[in-house]
Amino acid sequence: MGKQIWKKMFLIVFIISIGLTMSGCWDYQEINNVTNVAGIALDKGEEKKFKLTFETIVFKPSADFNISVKLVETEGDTIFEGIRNAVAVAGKRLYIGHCKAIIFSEEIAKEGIKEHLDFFVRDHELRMTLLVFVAKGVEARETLKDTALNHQIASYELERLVRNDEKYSSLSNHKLLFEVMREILDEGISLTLPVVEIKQIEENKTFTMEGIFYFENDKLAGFIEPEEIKFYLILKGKLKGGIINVPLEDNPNQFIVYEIQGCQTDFEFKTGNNPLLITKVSIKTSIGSNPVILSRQFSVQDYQRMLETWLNQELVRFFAKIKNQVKCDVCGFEKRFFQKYYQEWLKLSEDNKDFFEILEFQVKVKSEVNHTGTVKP
Amino acid sequence: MRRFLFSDLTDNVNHIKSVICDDLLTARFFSPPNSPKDNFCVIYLRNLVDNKIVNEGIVFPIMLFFQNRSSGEPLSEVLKEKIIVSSQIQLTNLMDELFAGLLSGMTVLLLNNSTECLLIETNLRDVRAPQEPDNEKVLRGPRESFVESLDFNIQLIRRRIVSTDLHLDYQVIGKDTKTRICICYMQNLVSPDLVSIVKARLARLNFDGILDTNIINEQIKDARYSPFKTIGVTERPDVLAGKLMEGKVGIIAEGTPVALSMPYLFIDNFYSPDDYYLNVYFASFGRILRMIGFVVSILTPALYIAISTHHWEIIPSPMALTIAHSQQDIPLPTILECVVMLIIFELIRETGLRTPIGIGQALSIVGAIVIGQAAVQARLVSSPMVIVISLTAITGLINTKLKGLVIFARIFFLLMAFLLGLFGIALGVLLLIAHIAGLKSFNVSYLANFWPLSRKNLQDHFIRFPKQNIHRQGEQEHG
Repeated sequence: MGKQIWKKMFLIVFIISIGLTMSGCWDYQEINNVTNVAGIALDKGEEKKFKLTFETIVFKPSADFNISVKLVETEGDTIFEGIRNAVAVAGKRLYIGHCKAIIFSEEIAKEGIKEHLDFFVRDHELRMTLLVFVAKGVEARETLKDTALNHQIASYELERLVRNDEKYSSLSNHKLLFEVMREILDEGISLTLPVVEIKQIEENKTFTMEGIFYFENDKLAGFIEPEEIKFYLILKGKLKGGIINVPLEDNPNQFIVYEIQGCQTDFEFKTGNNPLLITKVSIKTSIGSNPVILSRQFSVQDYQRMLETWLNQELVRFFAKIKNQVKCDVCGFEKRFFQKYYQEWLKLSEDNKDFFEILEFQVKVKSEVNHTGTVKP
Repeated sequence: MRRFLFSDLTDNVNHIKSVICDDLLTARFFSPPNSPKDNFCVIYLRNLVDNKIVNEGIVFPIMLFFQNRSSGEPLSEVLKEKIIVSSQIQLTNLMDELFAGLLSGMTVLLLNNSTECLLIETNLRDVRAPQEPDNEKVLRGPRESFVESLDFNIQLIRRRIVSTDLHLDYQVIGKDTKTRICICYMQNLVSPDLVSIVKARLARLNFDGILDTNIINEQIKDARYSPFKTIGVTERPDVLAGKLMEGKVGIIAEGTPVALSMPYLFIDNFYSPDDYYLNVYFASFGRILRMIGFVVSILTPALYIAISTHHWEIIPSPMALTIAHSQQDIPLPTILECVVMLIIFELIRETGLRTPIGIGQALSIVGAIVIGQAAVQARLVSSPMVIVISLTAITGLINTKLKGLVIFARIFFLLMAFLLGLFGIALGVLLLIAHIAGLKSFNVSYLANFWPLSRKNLQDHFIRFPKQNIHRQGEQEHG
């Protein structure tokens, strides 16, 4: 009996000591001994390579929930150095586990962002669902400075903006850290990153997220306008919401507004001399407004036909644009191709042909107008 | 000490008087008028016997008998068979039995020139009326509870189970207290092994006395050092009757209103008599709530410590900010804060238990205001901590049957979380499950009927099926 108890005691002590020494997670630390970072902005430094701006959250001691934001700026030759240098400024270690956004400056992005992302991926504190942005027109740190309108914390507001943009406006396309890494590391797709700009609204300035930057070999190469993001999203198969303005056939200054309720894109390839991409778009919409007030001049079929014709034509135009002007496979057609037709893709690359240059494009749009908003459709 | 009675009356009386030191020991001598040699003596303890029975059942008939006595039959037989009015008379020649009888309220009739005496049942029966049990309240269902009298308790059981299969096995245990206990079971439902195990363990007992069934409980239970109960405890005759009908064995003891039942399984901790008196859906919901309450009450402080000191990254950012904000400028480290708050709560609970009812209310107000609001406002304690502790405290009170365990499990998990974070909690849960799975209650596995998750096994586990679907001999099949 006594022997058994000793055996049990030994086992318990053994298990606990194994857990303590092997698991590596016995790091007891008070949550108030660190400073929470909400967002990080990266600019070129004056003395060192980087200038890092941390949006840190400051608590005021009171019984009510009272927080404010302080920007902490440091410089360092590496990002990690910058973060650790910040201790000298902030007084506490910066904790980046609840960091929501990284904003690169345009300058840095032009030189390539691959190497800078390594730290964010490697560090164990950060979440892989971090949002990555590039500031347009201003220094990255400006986007965090007094830009939050509704909330104290700009980075958290940025996160909310991203979520609503995806659902309601589709003016940009957000990227999470792991998606960024995938686009950088995968072949056959070019990286794109959303843009943050500063806008003046009366006395306040705030940020907006409109349009995306595209990258060529991880260096910033150009900008896609917010109006064209929906086409980009359709060709990526990622359109979820927003509205589409379709000009009237007889009067291009007036628009019928379609509200997107869902969109699915299927890709088919035909291999021949040149590969041919057949994109099948089926889009579900409802009518948001019509220039002729509550007119019944159009039937549902009319609405569908108008949307299909216009979208067809715009998608062909957009494809031509990215093929000829952008010259980057931002939608990842090549990736889709080699996932399905690897042998053919190998043959193409043996022939030293650039896939995207010789890709031909066809699109078939099928639309469905669920309701027109009037009582009798 | 002398084993057998003397043959001489005076010797016997003197011996008894020398052994029992009690001024209320009363010895009354009678000498029949026609045969003075046949004198005899009635001895009893005045405060233990019912005077009425002694007067009307013993003294008066004897007087009457001697007035017209003629034949020469042996006096003891005549007295026993024909004269004395009592439901229970016993003839003995042993000193031990004489003393035991005398001390438990019997009247002893000693005869001259005889080595035998009569023990006449004259016990003063003073029984408290059964009240509603305080610890096992029900919304519906019977409101009776056991009382301190064994016979009355048996009566309560017999009233519920009118069956010849109900076997009652009386024993006397305790060297000094000589307490009568009763082992009861349904002969047709119980497994014979179980009865023999219970009897064997009771036979092994060796102690001076028992004042409450808990003493028996601690001596005969499996895994003596485990904080888990392996023997059921109830104050309710309906509950004990229900257990007997499931094929379990009950033990009732003289002088205590608490009965034992065995075997007792882990799932029994979550049963309430209400489960069978209320609507099936409501009862099942209540049972699931009690299980959740158990888990919440042992794990909440540990989870809070693990999350707020090890794994900030797993909580949503707004919540992390709220916790970080509330921890700001709190003088104590979180773990110490938690332990101190838990101890304060236990202090308040214990005080509330030990104080008269009237003061309890004042206590709760002071407790709520002082350690609730004031401490938070003074920034001695963080407000999430108060919420965590209150949640723990409230859910800890759901399962009164697991009280002792819950307090220690809570501290154990807290330490594990403090040392190892969520990994420690996972480890602790594993240890706890391993411990529970290793327990046995009277050769029935403590987790019996948990696995496999078949309909038959689960019909009275997490949820209660309607009564007609429930097998009667649930636990016995694995026995």
